[in-house]
Amino acid sequence: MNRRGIGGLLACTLLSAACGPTPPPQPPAPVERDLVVLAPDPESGEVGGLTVTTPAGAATLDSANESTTVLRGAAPGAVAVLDDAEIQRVFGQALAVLPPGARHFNFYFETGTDQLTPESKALVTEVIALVKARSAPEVSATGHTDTTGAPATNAALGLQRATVIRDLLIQAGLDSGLIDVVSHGESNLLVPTPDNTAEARNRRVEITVR
Amino acid sequence: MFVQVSTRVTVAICLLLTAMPGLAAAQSADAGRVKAAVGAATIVRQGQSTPARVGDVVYPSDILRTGADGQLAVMLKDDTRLSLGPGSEVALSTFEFAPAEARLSLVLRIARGAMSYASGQIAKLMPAAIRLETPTSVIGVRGTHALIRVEAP
Repeated sequence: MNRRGIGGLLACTLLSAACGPTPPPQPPAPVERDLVVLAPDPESGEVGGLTVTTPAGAATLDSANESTTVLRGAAPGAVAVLDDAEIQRVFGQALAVLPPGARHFNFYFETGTDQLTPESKALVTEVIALVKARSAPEVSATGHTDTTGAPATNAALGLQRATVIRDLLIQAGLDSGLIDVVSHGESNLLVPTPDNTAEARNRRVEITVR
Repeated sequence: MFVQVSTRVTVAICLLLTAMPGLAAAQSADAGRVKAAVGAATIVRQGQSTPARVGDVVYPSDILRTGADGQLAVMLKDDTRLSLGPGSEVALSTFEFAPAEARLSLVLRIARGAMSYASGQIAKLMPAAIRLETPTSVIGVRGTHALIRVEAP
């Protein structure tokens, strides 16, 4: 609809003689207008999806750099791909300060112990190096369990495991004020399983560096 | 034993609330931190405006604001990233990230300006819990990177 409108206007401007006298200039109405763009993920390049909804309609954006313009009260305009130059013109200054994405490290224990696997021990230095490289870094130790046992027990178990890793990182030189400890219990599985399923990959402590 | 319950998480909440009331209280209320602040960049909290500095804590209900030469970036506890170009205002209307208690929500209200939004954990765990609101529309997020400009009169 918008495109046709603009096309008509252009035609009028070009062939003004055929369109009769130009109407007296109107004061410009206040514009309330959004532009919504679906961009690729800044790190992975992965493209997700957005749904733009107004009282008059909706539009779905699902491939890279698709955009829609929305005027107040109207349905979202036709979906159009924005070129990179235009994206930089409008969003360049916001994009310039977008922080680097969080990094996640999974720490695993030898079965039935509080000893880390050799691979996990090696991650400690990597985490410490990354923290040093970041501006205003924060670290979270999040304990996760599998779905064996009751959720409340697992919430407590997750917290215990996360505390073990926190202490280890502090021992390795991490400032204790930078790290917090939480438990997601069995509510945030790495490998989806039904309830009461033993799954080693879900029994982990996830270190997040933000 | 809870296999038949479709929302197993709900059971988890009930158990948690009865068995471990301390856990919920232990979650800190801060939503995230300022990661970049350039030029005129402020945080408005309960009507008070203070200049934003790198490392400052951001809380739910805070409003992020930039002036004509300002840029401001925040990272939330669920890894969500927000950055504002000049002349922008974004309210962190709601932020809850407590997966063990199934409390997840993120509502951002973009009043004006240009914002880059890169989704975090909430988008992975419960995309329907995210709403980006502008004066004209509501934007739902499946992931991962949205750019929004609001031109307000």
